[in-house]
Amino acid sequence: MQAKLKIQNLHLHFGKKEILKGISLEMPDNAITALIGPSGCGKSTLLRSINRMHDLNPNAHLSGQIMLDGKNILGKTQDVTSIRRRVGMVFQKPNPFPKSIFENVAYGLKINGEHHPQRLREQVEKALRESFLWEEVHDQLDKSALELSGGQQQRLCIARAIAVEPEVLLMDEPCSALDPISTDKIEQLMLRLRERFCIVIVTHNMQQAQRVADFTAFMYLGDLIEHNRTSDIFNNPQQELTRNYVSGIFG
Amino acid sequence: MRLLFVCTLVVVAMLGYILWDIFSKGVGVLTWEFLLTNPRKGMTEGGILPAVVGTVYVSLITAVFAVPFGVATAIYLNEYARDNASTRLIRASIRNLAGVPSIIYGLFGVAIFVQGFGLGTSLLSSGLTLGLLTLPYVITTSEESLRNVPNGLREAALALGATQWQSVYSVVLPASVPGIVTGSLLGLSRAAGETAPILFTGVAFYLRYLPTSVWDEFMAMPYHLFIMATQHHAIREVRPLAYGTALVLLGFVLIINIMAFFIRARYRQKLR
Repeated sequence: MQAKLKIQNLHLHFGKKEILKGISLEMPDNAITALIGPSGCGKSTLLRSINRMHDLNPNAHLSGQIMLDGKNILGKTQDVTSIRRRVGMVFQKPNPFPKSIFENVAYGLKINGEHHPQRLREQVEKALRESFLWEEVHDQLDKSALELSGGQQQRLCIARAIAVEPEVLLMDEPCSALDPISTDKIEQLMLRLRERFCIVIVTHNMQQAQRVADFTAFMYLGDLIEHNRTSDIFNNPQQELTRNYVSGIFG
Repeated sequence: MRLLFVCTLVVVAMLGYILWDIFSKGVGVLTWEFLLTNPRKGMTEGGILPAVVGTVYVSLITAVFAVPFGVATAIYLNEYARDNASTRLIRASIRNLAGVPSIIYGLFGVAIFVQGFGLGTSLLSSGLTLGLLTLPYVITTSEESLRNVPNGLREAALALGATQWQSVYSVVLPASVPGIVTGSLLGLSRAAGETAPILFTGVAFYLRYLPTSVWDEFMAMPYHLFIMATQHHAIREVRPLAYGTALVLLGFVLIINIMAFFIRARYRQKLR
């Protein structure tokens, strides 16, 4: 299978501290890859490298390569905003804008230059339908997004991210702030979005990784320990560290 | 505990006494005629219209100058500038500016605007001087309210491919408008009551006409009050008028503060 994302020997320092110690990892298209590992292993840091969120931090220094469709997105000449349009992100804490539901989903379209009211409406509806949110909000699109429940807010954030039709969707523990029912809805959603995107999810929840992920990568203290099909990672780990982690001996 | 309560009580009582004193002695002259006519007979009779209008005008000019510059500075400091020695120095300087006595601003205004830029003693010079006085206040409160915008919102916008300016302009700034507006209005209400900065830069003792352009001199309530309270020969006759002026000035400041309150409440409601 052709890898959508190919990370090669990625190092990341915050100041003098090395957070990622040479990660190499491939993520195929139309599949969900889960990053697991104990707190501080660098999985969120790795995820945020893929859409260059570390650019905001002047202390962060990256080396190595992240190839998206064969092109290095860490290149100095790469336009960061165009990368972020291709690599969407959903954050740990639902972070809808303090705007209406409609405006939230339309935001990414508008900054990409789409202002035609009819097309905007169509694309907002499409994104909301794809996020299983349309039925719940279609008659209150002008309502503030902050009035939605936490689970709805997170699905709205997913709708907002997929409205701009990215190719990769990064999800940083998207369910950690949600109840089990909302979590289930988001997992169903991920399984459906897999048909269209290359999805990378960071999760603390090993059951969640087993439920949704096709591939799982186990990280520990900035190293990638093992990367394989999810069933192999959980049922037949090759490394002792992985076995200990997935069986709950530490972590 | 009891001592603290007594202290609080003393403070509130003094404040209450001042307000009651001004109100009880000023309310007698307070009529529409007082607000809407010129002073007559060497200011011993008539109203304070030119002073009210002058204060409104000079406050507007102050706002036009102080708010855009103040908000722009706050955005630069909070969103763009890196946290290093020079930005810390800038912040400390701004905070210190807020503590500079207003008479110093007045002298500075004479040196820079009236003489340096040749703007003369005018509404414009006074407005700019008051603007300088208000700037540190606008900058500090705006920066504070920008800082209160959760980082998650910035990241969300950037992750959708927004440039930093787009994220600031369309997400961060709207979310901080209530704080910025409140801070600006409170700064303005302070400026509206200042006497020293306008003293040398544009305010006049008595004018027969309302100012018609920013180049004109003007009358203002705080200065009018100062004149009638200390400089007038007929102290006894003008005392009630002075109290009336004080009451109107207080009312003006109060209205600005109430506006700030409502704008804040409205935006809060819109966000919920």
